[in-house]
Amino acid sequence: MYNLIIKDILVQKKSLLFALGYCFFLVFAFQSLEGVTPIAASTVVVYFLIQNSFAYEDKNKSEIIINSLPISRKEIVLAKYLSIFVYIGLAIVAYMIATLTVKVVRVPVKVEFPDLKDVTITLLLVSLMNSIYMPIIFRIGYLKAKIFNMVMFLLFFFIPMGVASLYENPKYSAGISDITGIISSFSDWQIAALLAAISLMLLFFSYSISLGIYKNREF
Amino acid sequence: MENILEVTRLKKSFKDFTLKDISFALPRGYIMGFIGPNGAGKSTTIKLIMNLLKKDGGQIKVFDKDHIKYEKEIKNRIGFVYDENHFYEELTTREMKSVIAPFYESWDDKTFDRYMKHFKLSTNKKIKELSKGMKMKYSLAMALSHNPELLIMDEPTSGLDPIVRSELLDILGDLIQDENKSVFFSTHITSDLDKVADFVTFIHDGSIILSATKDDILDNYGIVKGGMDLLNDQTQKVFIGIRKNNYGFEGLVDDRKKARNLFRDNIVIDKPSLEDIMVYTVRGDQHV
Repeated sequence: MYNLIIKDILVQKKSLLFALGYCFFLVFAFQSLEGVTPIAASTVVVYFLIQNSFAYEDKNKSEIIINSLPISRKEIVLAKYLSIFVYIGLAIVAYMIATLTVKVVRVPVKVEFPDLKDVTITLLLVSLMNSIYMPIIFRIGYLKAKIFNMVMFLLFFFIPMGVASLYENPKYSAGISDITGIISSFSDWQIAALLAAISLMLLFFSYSISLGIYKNREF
Repeated sequence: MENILEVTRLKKSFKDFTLKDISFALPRGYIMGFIGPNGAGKSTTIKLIMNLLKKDGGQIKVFDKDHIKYEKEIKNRIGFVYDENHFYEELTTREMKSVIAPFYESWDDKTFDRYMKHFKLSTNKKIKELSKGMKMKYSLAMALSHNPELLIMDEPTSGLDPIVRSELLDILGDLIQDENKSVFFSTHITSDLDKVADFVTFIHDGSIILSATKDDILDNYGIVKGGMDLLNDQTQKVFIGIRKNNYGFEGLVDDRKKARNLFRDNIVIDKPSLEDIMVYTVRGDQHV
């Protein structure tokens, strides 16, 4: 199964470079935004790498080969889900390389390093996204799922913006500050653990659905 | 004789095609050619054996074991080659090898290197840079490097030039010198079978028309030629397929002796080629 994860990375060698370039770009492009750059960079990179890994398989119809190898469909599905964590790691490393480089060569821009909050929010966002679209890809294949994935990806950008604008609306701001008040009464670690637990539950639930789908998939 | 591959009453329905209760068996140590026209059900059968498609009924046994219950174990001992190359085009032949190799318990790099050398394939070329013939040879090297006991190939010779094709067939012949191994391959090019097949299974429109040793088939089937006056509703029944023109008829029978008894010395019986058998069977009754 680990071979499958390594395979996905090997196939995407070039995309990793692209991801790194993208992180550099975001460091500069998101100068005016506070506190979102690490999350945005990692989430997009993970989204990109996972989509890309499915795209490569689709392009070469390599699922036919993979499913002819001595490996169970369960392992194939599980590998894709586990690779999410690998990609989060890679995305954070890529982002760190970008920020450190900017810092070391003393480019006069503001840089933000990812902290625990960033990592867990990234995990939550990525888990939520993948939990929804992975079963769809396993069901109808990458190409047909593509449009749906694009729409969902955009929603992930607009929904937080919508929430932010609610915050500015006096009608809701009281309620929202109540919620933020409750949240801030917990320690960072408690919140991180809660978000991580929610993420894992989402992924596990989604994995079970994907497995049911993929076991009956025909090629 | 132990069967390495045994298909019994295999069923699969699609919207526009049905595989109807097909059965055949391949003993260990032999090559079986699986022939039939395009769309006859060859790829469907192979995909069912590999569990890429889910069967609706029947049984498939490989190495005397159920192909789904023991899927992983079986696939460890099978080599596969498909008509199209489904490897990652961007990778080099060596990179792709390192992707596939770890999946097999008994992968042998020495065997792989030997085949690559034998086929004159470069290890640092990207797969997309290989010609069709080279891709086929590469697929074969990949399929054989874990020392499989059963090699399953779907249309491996289609689209290849005659030289590569004959090279490929030679390798199959070499492979079964080791009497432990078998090859099951589909093709619509009947001359491939004339050269290497021990057994021939002929599928048409989702049904098995015949499955027997090539020698039996060629000994029993016959092309019968004679004058039109010999044909009536009764005698016409012995023919699987028949072609008529103003001067006479030419037809395929599956029992030469019967035809001889029926028509006595009024006919000429020729040995058919596998192509004759395929064409007459598929086209049936035809008038020129």
